[in-house]
Amino acid sequence: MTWLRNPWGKPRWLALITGIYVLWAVVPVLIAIAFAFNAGRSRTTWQGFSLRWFTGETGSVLHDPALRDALEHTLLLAVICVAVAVPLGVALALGLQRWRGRGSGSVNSLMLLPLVTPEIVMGVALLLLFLRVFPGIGLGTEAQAIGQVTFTLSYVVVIVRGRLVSIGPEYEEAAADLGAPPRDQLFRVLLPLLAPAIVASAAVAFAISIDDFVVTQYLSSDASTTTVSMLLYSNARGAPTPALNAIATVGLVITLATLAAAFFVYRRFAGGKEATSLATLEV
Amino acid sequence: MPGEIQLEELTKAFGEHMAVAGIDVDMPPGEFFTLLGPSGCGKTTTLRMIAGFERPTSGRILLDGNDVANTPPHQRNVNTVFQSYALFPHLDVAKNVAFGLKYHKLGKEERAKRVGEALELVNLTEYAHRKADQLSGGQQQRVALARALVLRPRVLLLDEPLGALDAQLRKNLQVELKALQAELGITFVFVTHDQEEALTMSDRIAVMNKGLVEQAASPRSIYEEPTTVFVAEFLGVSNLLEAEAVGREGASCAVRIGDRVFRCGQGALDAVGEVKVMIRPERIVIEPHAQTGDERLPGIVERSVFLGGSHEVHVRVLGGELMKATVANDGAPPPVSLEPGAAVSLRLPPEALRVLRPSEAGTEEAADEEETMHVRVTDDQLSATAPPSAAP
Repeated sequence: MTWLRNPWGKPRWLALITGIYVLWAVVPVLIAIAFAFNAGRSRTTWQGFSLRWFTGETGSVLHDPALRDALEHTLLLAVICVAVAVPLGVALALGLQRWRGRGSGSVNSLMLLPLVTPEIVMGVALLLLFLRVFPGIGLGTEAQAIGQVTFTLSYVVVIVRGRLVSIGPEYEEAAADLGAPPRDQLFRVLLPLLAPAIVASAAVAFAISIDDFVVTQYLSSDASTTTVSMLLYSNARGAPTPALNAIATVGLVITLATLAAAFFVYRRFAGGKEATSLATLEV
Repeated sequence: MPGEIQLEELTKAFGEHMAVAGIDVDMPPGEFFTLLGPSGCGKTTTLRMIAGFERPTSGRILLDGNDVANTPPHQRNVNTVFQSYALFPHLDVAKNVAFGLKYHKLGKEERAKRVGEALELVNLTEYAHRKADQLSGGQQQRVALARALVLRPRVLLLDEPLGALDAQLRKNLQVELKALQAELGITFVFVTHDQEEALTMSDRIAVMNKGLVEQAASPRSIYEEPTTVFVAEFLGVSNLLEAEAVGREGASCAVRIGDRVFRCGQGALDAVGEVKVMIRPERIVIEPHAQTGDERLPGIVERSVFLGGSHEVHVRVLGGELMKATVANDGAPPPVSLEPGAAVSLRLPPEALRVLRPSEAGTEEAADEEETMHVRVTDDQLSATAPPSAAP
């Protein structure tokens, strides 16, 4: 154990353990992705490279109606979720930041609640809500969208508020001092300064929506409201083909691309330090 | 000339805490006016009330005779240079400077001309298209200045604008700012905790302490004729002695310090009873111990520091007080031995002795804090500057 006593030595053990962990976490995913390109029907035996499960005539992501519909529905939900959760979350963050009175502290803590509530609890609660309290809405796309917005909103608020805190009140004061009325303080100064955080929170909301399974599953109605994650779950143990790997790969690529784009936008406009903390949050 | 500010009975409370506890200040048009005081004295809150960022709890803020206490900041014809500059990071220098011109009814060409003039005024023409974070601290400060001055405000408010800069740059900008103010003739209201900065730049200084103005006067009066113990302590180095005033004698006041009687020619000459007597170190004359008679206080040198232009001598006088005296260096060796342990006599001329009435409880307490701080600072300087052999 000399490495413990030698502060100048290279931390070889740490590097080794980290390396093993990364392999353990990444290799199964890479194997799953690889079999998306398998020429045969097997998900365990390599039979040559092919794109048939992505674009082939039958049973591919592009041409199998069930797979294609699931992908479309997933993207539809994600777009709705971003379109609703981001403006709402930005408004909430601004409101919470300004509101310094009785109750603002508890509301702040409440905003974090959806982040720590087990998703299954939230799923069950929302299911009961739509069945008993708002039967008019019923299960299906609307309920799924509302459910996803409910918990992605918290991420938007947390990210935007973080940026608001680091911006501080001075820029608004400076704008007011230079003659800008409150509306211009918001649109000429505050929103441009918040832009990186807004983009980042949109990406996070998008990625979370695509990846979500529990809430989306609970609030689904029929086959037309099946998402990619639901499809993967229900077919994984049935009669799977590499098409499932293919659709999972598509979902993964969309998620990663969105997050990477957000990360770069944020780092470009808000400085490296905050981007790092954002990356931690996403994980 | 427009640009006069009058604060009347102005107060600001944050919950229980009175940040500004009722001040009346006249800031004449075209003057460089400084609010000076330690942190937490209410100077920044006062400035923020003039700017409109804080609403006064009570009182009036008159800008050229109109009460603006409840006018929102974007409708006040005053502009601010922030301590952090608060330049908009998403805009370049020219757009920062042009920001407020949108709210003045100006043609496009006129606007561009004004921006050009403002950048020229602060020597930043070639930086017009840089982003704010690509500039040095001093340059950012100039942009902040140009952004405010381009609007031709009646009053410019400056909240410790030199605080974030290094010492050399600070000195240069002090001179530049003062010159700029004189050239433009705009009223400047400047907030600082740095007494030297205040003395260098101001036409008039208001010394604040615990939400109140202790004294408002010209730098010379503030330094030479402080009216309170706090002011005497806050500006420059002062020797303050406990004394008992025994009554007025013509143009002076007789005070008893220990068993000796001194005549004081300055300050509250009519005071009777417990007072403080103040004298600046440079006004004390050090004489050989053999000298006796009126106006003299015997003592023992404790420390002596050579500062180049002068010696700073600490003398423990009869009665136990430590007094600081400055002896100018005229090239010749000092006529009196200033070695530690030397017995000397301090002459306190009547025209340099100032009687200060005891302050209210609050102020006195603050003055005591200030005193201990002062001693500590001076000791630090001593140990830093004294050669090792001279250290006791």
